[in-house]
Amino acid sequence: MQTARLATKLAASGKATGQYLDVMLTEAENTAGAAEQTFAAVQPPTRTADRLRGQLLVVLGECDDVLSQLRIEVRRDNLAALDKVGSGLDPLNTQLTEFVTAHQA
Amino acid sequence: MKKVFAITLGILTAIGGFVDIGDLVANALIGSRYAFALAWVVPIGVLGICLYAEMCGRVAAISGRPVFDVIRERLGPRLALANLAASLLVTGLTLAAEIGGVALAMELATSVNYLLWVPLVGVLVWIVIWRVKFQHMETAFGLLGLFLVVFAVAWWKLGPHWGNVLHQVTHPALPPNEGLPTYLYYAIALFGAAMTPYEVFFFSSGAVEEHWRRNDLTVMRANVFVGFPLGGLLSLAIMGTAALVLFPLGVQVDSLGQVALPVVVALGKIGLAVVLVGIFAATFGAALETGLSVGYTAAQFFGWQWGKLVRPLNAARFHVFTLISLLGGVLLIMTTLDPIKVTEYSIVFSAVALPLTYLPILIVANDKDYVGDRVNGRIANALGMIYLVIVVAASAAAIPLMIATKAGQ
Amino acid sequence: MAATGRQYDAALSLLDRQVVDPRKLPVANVDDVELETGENGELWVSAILVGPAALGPRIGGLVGRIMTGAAQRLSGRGPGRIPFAIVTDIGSAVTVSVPVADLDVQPLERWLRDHVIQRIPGASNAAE
Repeated sequence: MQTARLATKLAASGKATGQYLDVMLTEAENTAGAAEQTFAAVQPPTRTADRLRGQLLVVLGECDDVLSQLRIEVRRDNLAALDKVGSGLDPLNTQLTEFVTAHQA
Repeated sequence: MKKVFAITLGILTAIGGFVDIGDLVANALIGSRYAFALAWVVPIGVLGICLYAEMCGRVAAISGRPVFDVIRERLGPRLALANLAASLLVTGLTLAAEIGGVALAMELATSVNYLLWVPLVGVLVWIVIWRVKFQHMETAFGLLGLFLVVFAVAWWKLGPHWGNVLHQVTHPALPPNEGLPTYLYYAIALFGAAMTPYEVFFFSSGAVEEHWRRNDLTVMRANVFVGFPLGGLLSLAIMGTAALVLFPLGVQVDSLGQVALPVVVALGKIGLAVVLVGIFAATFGAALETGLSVGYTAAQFFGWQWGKLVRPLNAARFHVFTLISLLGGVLLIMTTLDPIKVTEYSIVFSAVALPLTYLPILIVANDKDYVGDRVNGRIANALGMIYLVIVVAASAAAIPLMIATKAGQ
Repeated sequence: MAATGRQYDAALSLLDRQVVDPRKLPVANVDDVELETGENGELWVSAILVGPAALGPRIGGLVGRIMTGAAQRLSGRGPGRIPFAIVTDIGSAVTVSVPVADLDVQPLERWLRDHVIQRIPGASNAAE
């Protein structure tokens, strides 16, 4: 996710080629999709875990949407739009980080 | 003047040829995960490869015999055959990883899926092995590999606080949330990446292919003791850029695109173009070296005619064997196994196989039958023994650590 | 010229060494030696044996048997034999006086050359 956000910032400043961004964003999308699937397939042991799983899946789902949008834009060669769409990842990144720190123990 | 040119060219190609897919992945991954906490392993690995490459080069220049030939004479056929099997496995895995690396670099340049590039890369590697003269091949890919200096430029451009970097290098501390076993596992991986066995097979066979003699020893030593450490600095630069850009974001490198990312951040599109050429040259050059090494080791064990000095027609078994290994490498990557994962396993298994390669070299470099009066001096032997202990310890610990840490997770 | 009459520790000086021809081209490895008993019961090396059929028994076990079996089935004969009389020097390699092309000890090399390598374009040109 952080990689994708960094990539979109690069796009905004014209620092990377479309081909490179395409590969990086597709990779990020695949990783997010895989993470979503892993958590979706897990059988939560308790009710509390149930809720956590729900929250996490929502966040990951939103990430996935943004990343798909990014991939679509990059394949349309619409590099200028990437930073704007990519900024949608910022709150999601924060949420994920907070989620991880809160539930690490 | 001619000698100065030879030395300069040798050093430059040694620098450019030092880094391969294993170094790229290991250094970037470790920089992104541990910042500079494992940087101390790089000089240890570089000194080790210098030490043993010098011994191999000396044995080859004076006796005209490459390493694997000698391994069988000293270990006997049974142990040498087991050694051959292990070396072929590790070098074959490395070959597959390098082919994957070239294909991934092509993907980053074109956004065409790497799997489509793999067969083409295989064919190109084979054509170069089949047709191009040894020296031309080495010089071309070595010099192109110098494009990787862009990592050093990026590191400098990112403008770290150098005193701070030095402090982190000299006072390694585990980042929070990281366990000691994983730390040690990655230390071994990094060590294995620097000391990959194919490098000495290739170095000593190359010395024989290039007809090194006693009076080439100065050039050889300059290549090893100046070129390799400068190549090691490139490794550190790869680690350094990842530590500065990716570590603070908590990004852990698991793709080749991420290895290049810090350079793109620092230097933009030009940086991207240069780094992709560098990665292409480094991995393609290493694919040639590993492909040839597979053929060299088998041919030298069995006493076949080998090498690129004779027409392929006169080294039929060597070329068939090399071709089959190349095909094997291509097929392994075509199974869609992640090339980065293949790389990670190849460097850890390299670490496991290290004593098999390095013990016989130390023995032979002390044998008057092979090197006459040029046997190891006291310092070479003392360091050689210390490294043998390190290498055996790393080899013994690698597999248990791999299991305990689930390959570094 | 033949290096007969000198005493060697056969195991150390001969076994597993590279055999080269007068132009230093590799011929084979010394996979085994053929010993004969002289009139007074002394042993002397009569030939160098080469090829997997000679190496197999020295490896031993299953791997050795497979090696010997495969070699014999493919070539239809025993190990290659280099008479010791043509050995001219024993150093870090064993030198013989007959060019590699005139020694019939590389059946697999010949087969692969004639049936595989020769059919690939550029096989008979040196690299450029």
